[in-house]
Amino acid sequence: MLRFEHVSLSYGSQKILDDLSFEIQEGQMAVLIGPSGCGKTTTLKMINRLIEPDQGKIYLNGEDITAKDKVDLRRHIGYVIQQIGLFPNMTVAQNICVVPTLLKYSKEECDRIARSLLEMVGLPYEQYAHKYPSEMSGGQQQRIGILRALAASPPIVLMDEPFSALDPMTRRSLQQEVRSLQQKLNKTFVFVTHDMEEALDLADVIIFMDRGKIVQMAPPEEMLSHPASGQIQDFLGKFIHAQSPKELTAADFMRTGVLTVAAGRGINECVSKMQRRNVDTLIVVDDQGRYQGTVSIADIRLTGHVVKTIEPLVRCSNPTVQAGDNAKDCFDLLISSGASYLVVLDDEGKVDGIITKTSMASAMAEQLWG
Amino acid sequence: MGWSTLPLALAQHLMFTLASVAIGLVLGVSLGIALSRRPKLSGVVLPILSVFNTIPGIVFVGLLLLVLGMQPVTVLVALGIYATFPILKNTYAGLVSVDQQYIEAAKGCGMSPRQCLLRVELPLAMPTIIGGLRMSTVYTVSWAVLAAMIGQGGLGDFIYAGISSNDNGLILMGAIPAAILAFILGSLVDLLQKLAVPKGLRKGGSGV
Ligand SMILES: Nc1ncnc2c1ncn2[C@@H]1O[C@H](COP(=O)(O)OP(=O)(O)OP(=O)(O)O)[C@@H](O)[C@H]1O
Ligand SMILES: [Mg+2]
Repeated sequence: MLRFEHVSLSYGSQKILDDLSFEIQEGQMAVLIGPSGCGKTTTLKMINRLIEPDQGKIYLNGEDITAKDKVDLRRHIGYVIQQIGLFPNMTVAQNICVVPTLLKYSKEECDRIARSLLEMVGLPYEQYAHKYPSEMSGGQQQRIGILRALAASPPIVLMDEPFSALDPMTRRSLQQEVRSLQQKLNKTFVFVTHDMEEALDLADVIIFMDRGKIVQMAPPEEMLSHPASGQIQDFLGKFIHAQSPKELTAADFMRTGVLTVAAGRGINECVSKMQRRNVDTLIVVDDQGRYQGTVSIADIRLTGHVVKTIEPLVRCSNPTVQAGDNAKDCFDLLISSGASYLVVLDDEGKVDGIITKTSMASAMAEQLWG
Repeated sequence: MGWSTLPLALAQHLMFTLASVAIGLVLGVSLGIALSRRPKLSGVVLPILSVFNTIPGIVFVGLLLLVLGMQPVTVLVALGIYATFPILKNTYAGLVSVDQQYIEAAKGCGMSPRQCLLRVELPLAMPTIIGGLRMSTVYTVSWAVLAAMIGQGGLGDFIYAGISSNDNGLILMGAIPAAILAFILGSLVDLLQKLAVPKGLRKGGSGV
């Protein structure tokens, strides 16, 4: 539907957008998010050619947008600017029908459009159509701004922080309205925000930008579970723990930084390690860090005097789980096996961490109380 | 010179005023639009114009007289140019002060530059433009007195005759109708202001 290919832009020596490539599918709600000044608005304005890139190409439905007439292109792209920008000299109905009028729809058709759109957002036509923007509240103006973008049924709608000036209640209800409009009309939306909650609520896919580059492009769940950078993690902040318990994995419950020891190590070294850390078993790994098993102080006491290294004493009886395993299953295993901990392994069989009853309890507490 | 010639003088005065303001309106609005599209050029042109504006009318009419001779055209050219200044300045100021958000919204909706000007910028600048028209009208009524200086009639005839013969009565016979004319024309422009300013802008609040 919408594809950026190696799009770059500089103002003087300052690089504003740096080799941006991404694709948004038809009917998706794509949300652009990132710190202030990272180039979100610039990216958005390139789609309707209010700003032209220095390099790269943008395709809409497979067509290079520079091949089309600018004015005509914009009439087929809905655009909601951050400051709303309703024309003060026009009534609500005239504002809504700006684009249909430019496209020379008949008067009756325009009336019909204004009527049905106003009803859709719960503003009765009779009461509001002939008011001027200055007679409407901020939230109402914002609604009209969105309707203006939808009036000529464009296949794609661009929105630049449309709710930033609203109180939380109005904001919430408008978000829901936009979401349901988008689903009902099955349009492609590109939505700019700096509010992660809004992004998580609305997005089919989130594009996280920083300093003119895409840091991560992923659906909300994936961004929550695998944020690509510390910065994204900061943006996700409290939401990162707000996932539903069903989606939690072993990785969410484990304790990291566990003590491991190589299989070739001597008995004495291991004993002193255990004493220092006050533990009764050690996790044994090979030279690549892959899990081999565990060695316990009881076994060392029993047969430690006949062997030099711990290798012969390694047991593979301790239960292991994969980092991506369901947390509830891990919990059940920990209880039923009677083991004092589970070893959590990554895809390559390396040790990621361990789950103990204590680590499980503290992770649960965090889920509950944040 | 007396009561019998007053109606004719008043009519001449009115005609000079209306014709000059009409010229000023056309020139002022079109030059104002043209300059507002070229910010770099207007940075040079506007200061030059305002210097020009300070040349006293009497000097200007004198100069024009040398070129064009004693005829009504001389008066119309001089007054027309003077009537242009306030309208040009206000048109320019009104257009450049239109909030950028409306222009961006207009562009984003797919208006051509011309549609943006006609449907958004000019309506939003209208209160300022008509303010300029009002100034221009009131000034022109008094400047039109200069017509008498080159023998083209108008209320100036009474004033000059009164001054040269030291007859205050004659001066007032010219000055009072001129003041009343200025008042009436000014009120007509105010009425126009009410009619031509888009409704949404009248209540104050939003707008330019
Ligand atoms: N006309 C301009 N000339 C020079 N630099 C500009 C211009 N417009 C924008 N910039 C710079 O480009 C960068 C990106 O701007 P942009 O408006 O796209 O940011 P943004 O991500 O939308 O930020 P915000 O969240 O604050 O709206 C900023 O660093 C800004 O300073
Ligand atoms: Mg922005």
